[in-house]
Amino acid sequence: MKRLERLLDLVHVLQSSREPVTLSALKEAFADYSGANDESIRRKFERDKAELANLGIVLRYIDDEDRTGYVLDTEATYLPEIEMGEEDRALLATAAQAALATPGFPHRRALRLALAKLGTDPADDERALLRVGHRAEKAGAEHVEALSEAVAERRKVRFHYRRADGETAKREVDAYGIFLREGAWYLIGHDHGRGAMRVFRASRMEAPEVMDGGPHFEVPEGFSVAEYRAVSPLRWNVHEPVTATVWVDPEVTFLVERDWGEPNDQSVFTVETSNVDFLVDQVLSLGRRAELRSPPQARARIADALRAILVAHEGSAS
Amino acid sequence: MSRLPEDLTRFLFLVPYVAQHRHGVTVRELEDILSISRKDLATLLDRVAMVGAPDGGPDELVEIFLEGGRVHVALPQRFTRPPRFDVREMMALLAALAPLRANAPPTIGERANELSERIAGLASERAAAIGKDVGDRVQILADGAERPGVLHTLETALREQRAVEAEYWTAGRDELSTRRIEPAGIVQVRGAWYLIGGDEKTFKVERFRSAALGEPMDEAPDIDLEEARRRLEELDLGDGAVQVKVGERTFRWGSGGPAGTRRWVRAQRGRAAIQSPPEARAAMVEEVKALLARYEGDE
Repeated sequence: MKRLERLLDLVHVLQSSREPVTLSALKEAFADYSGANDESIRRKFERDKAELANLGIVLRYIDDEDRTGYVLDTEATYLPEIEMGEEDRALLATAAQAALATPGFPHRRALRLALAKLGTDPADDERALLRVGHRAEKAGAEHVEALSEAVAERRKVRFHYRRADGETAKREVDAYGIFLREGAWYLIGHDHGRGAMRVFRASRMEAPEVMDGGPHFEVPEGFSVAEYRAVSPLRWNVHEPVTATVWVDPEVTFLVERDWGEPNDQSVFTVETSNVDFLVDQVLSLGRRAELRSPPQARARIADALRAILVAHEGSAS
Repeated sequence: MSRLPEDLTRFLFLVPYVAQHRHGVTVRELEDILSISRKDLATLLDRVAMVGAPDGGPDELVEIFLEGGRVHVALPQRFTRPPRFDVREMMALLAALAPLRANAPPTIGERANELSERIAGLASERAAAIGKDVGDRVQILADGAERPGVLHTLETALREQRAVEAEYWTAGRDELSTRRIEPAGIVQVRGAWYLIGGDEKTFKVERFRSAALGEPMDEAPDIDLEEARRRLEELDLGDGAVQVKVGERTFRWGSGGPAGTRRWVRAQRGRAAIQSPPEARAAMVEEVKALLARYEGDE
């Protein structure tokens, strides 16, 4: 008998029986479990049990006064009846449609199957007032499935990583989580080489390899991808923190208050940053509506950027 | 690699799912749901046609068969419910819902949160053992400055079919203005929320300085929201009135108005230049010179 058939028969027998089934009874029923070597048969049965457990099928051993043997815990194994309203179905379908259309979204097959288990089809997104879409760059999207496997199974990942300055180095990372931000997928985890938490952009990875076995680590208590990704790029650890002051036209201060906090009564923000380049981008984006007042090095960067724009416009126009 | 876990998973889903459908399920639908080819599905059905107690009678077998392009289950035996969610299914469902949980219009956010909690409660023992938060470790999340107060007002206006009185910053003209918007729907594109107006104009939620409920509308606007979302998702080059050079490439740009184009060119820090029309190029140069004057006094 092939193993697939044996495992399905085993599930069938255990869930159909009203009483626990002993290993002796299974030996009689299954030719595959028969033979002289009890230890070998037990090991085979334990391997089958582990395979089923991996799929969420829970076999328990009952050892009461009047009965012993294995049962299939149907409550722990199978989904209960699920009552979902039309609005919940539509919301889930809307979310699923957007996810399935996103390059790199991991576990697509699992999502499709899970929706069917819930009796929902991605085409049921008939909610009139809401539509969702994400955009993800294709570069690096091919790595997301493997990275997500590493996150699910708590395994280490090895890859070559190209930094923004072009330097490439080998990394070994405990995969804590992945996230999509502004169209790019990122892995977040403990970098063994640096001895600290780091974020890696999937498009800068080469040949990520999920290491066998595991789980290799425990995710730290209280870790949250949502909180980590919510950290503004201003707080990314690029250099030692500096304090900057920026004047913003009071008419548009609301555009930056989430990132910069409240301005003083002169409409000047005081911003702590360890990524001044990002602050320069933000100030440039506001144009005439903002002026970076300090520190002088950051002012010099803005001046350099503006001069570069003028130089680019000095050539002949068409 | 062994196909055993996949085939087991498929069978355990297939039997209760098909059994619920009196007239069977088309092969095409199962190909889609199970991510399986027609040939592999036929092979699987062939292999599991005799599932049952090895020492039992024919009436104890699960009866599953292919007929007329449809799969039927006559005797599901006790395979009446699919298994609970495994780790991947849970991660995928929760990751898909994540963008609607955080920073969403309040009612939608609450519903997405409740739904996510219910789904997490349907995990298999193994999935739960791996970590109750594992489903939250894949995230597609909103970017940009969310404005919960504004989203709440917009959602209320939509539900009550009322207009919105707003102070809105138009990036394309770098201008704050007061306007009345008749809301048709809310869409999320690349992590940012937008209000779609009845006149098909789009308003990025983070650019609302304020929003208040206005008068009831005579009738709700009739807009194809999916079409509006697609338009936002595509790179809109607008009327292409402005020619911009980036490196060696030149392309036409007209999206977002003149101030929006200049904002984009500023962000390129010299890697891009407006080529034509001359007045757009001159406006760019004039703006940059004025900005530079603020900074050059230092040196």
